[in-house]
Amino acid sequence: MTEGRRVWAGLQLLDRQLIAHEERLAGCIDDLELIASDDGDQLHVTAILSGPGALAYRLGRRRFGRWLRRVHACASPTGDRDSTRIPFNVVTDIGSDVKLGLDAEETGSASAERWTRDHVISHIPGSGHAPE
Amino acid sequence: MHLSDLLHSQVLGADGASLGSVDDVRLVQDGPLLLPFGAAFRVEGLMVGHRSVGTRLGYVRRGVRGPWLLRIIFAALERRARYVPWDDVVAWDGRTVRVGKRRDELGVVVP
Repeated sequence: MTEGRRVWAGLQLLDRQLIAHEERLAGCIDDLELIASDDGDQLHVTAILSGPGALAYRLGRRRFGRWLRRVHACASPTGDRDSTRIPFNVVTDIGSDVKLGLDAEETGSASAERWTRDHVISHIPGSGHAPE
Repeated sequence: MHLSDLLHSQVLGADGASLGSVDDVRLVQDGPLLLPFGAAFRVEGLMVGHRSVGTRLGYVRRGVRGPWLLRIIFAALERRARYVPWDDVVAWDGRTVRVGKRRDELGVVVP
């Protein structure tokens, strides 16, 4: 990473594709988390927010977006960690896409799909067989 | 706080006049260390204005040369936009950004 580089958040970060550690697509950057510095004078980017809840919040559906993020957190495979929040320190490269040092399973973009697989599909007789 | 809160905020100058809304946020990578990523991104400034669509599309910024007709159109639009360094921001309550300068004291060109 080059120290001091400058980017336009809306133009160069929002909606960029996230690529997980194993080169799988892992959703898009729907929003960024900003935290004020201790003295309150500066704002720092601390996390990427990705998933339907983050997108709904960004599009102005604030209450619905917060609710959807809570639902996704409940379905998260990472336990108590909100998988729609990706800490910025796991970013490994920023270019035309954004590469992460996480597996796609640890991100929130496919949590509904995972929950359905684990709690519904897996209980259907015969679902343990790979498709032929 | 979310970036989208900032992007939707209205901006008021020192005289109380509206400068428009925040169209984009400039980040610089010189914040606290977030290992192994490196320095965190810090909010350095805001692009504000009623007509800064060209700025959001990337026209007129340094290194963008054409097509010439679009460059001329967006250059005219961008002249209405203003760049607000974060150091000039007096307060932000999540909906409204208050700037310590008037529109004519703010620069058009991003430093």
